[in-house]
Amino acid sequence: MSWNSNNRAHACLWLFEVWYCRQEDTPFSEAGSWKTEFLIRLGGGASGDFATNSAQAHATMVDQAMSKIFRAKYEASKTTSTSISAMTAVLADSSKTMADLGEIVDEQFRFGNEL
Amino acid sequence: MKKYFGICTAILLASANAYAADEPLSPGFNPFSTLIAEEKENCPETPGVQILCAPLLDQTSGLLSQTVTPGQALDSLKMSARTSISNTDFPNDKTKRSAANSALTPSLPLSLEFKDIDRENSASVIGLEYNIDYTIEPPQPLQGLNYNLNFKSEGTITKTAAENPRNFIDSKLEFSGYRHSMFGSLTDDEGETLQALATEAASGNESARITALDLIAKTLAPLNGYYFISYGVEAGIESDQEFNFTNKKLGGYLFGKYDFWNRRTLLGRLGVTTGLRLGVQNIDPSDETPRAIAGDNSDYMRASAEAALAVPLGSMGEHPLVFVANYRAYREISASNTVKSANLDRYLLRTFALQGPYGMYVSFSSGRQPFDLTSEDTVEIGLKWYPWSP
Repeated sequence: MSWNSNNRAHACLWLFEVWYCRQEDTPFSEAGSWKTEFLIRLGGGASGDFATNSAQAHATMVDQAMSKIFRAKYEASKTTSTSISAMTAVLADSSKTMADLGEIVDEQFRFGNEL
Repeated sequence: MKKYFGICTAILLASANAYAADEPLSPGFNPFSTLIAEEKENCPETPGVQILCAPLLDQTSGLLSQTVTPGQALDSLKMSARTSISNTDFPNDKTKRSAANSALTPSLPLSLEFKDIDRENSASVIGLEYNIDYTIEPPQPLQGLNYNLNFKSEGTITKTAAENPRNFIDSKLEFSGYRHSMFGSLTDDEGETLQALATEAASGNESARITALDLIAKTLAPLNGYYFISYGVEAGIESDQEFNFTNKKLGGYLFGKYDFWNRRTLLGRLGVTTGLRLGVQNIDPSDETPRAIAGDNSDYMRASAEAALAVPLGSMGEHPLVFVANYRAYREISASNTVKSANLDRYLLRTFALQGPYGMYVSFSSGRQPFDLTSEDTVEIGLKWYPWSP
């Protein structure tokens, strides 16, 4: 599913990321194309290892935001470990966007309006 | 397998005896076609036999339609059996369905596969490739503390050590982990409300956006910032089958990151993020690195340090902008005089960048990386653009 404001995983990710990046006024539709390099902050000019570590740091933050603040539940067979490693892989890939990260959040978590 | 070789031989001999023993088999005469078809259907599931059974029966069927002597037919059957056995499918099938594999696979993350290995200027050989990948980690992190222990080993075994062009053993034991700040938690009902607010806010509802952002800020207010620490150590060895060439691998790293969130402090108001990574690593250089060209191609230990700082600069037009500074240093431990005199034992690289959310950047780099021969200053102005449609 593409970046969609009716998708709770996407909407919750957008809200947390604009809060974290201090860009609270950024509309949902624009934020979908934000690059992951921008989200992890320290990616510019960094080595591959440094960027991967920074991506993992950000992934732990998003995982906690979804599970503790938005109280989303892990999908069957998904855990904190699967969530963090899947998000780290996307965040460490500088060609990916927040919309790509939204897909991972949607895969890993079940939100209130989902069966 | 012997049974099916016997059946094929019996069919051929019976066919031949129907005529004269020294006469060629009659082309087109195949009174055993039904028997061959039935036997083919019944090719057993016994490891390895199925792979031989069908080709042997097909070969028999083919021979019955050709003009060959019984002796030629038997030779042809032997050749067919030999070809099937030398094919890696046969031992792979036998291994896959062996009792040993069934017993080991559920408890050990082990895979075994026979491979036909090409060698330069020599005939190819069959080798057994093995791979073990085993990880121990807690099912759920404990209070932000997570770790895992991974053992990975792979390699190839051939009948004669000298014939093995690949690594006999390439094993690595790695321990890594991380810990981080713990977020406060909302109740399920509050979380459900926040989810609904987020959806409304994403659809353009301004008051829902303000309420939702306020709730996030209040929940995370007790944290002055967010720390993340990760670490890892690895030790490994690789060797050929004769143990003439062995290479030890050793490495480790420590990474830390801190986001300043407390807006009552200057760094928090600015939204500064800092990071530091220290590492030590065993390097096995290729022949084309500056170090090898200078005359030292031995493997070596290298220490590295990398620090970064990011500061949001507000917006340029409607686009947010972040200033990122990155500083990298590499130093070879116990470098040889050859390397030192060629000035290839230390490297520094500084990069300052203005980073936008859509890949737009301006960066200035000064210094060199371990693959560079000379230092230079570089200014890059670029736009990275990746097609994306909402």
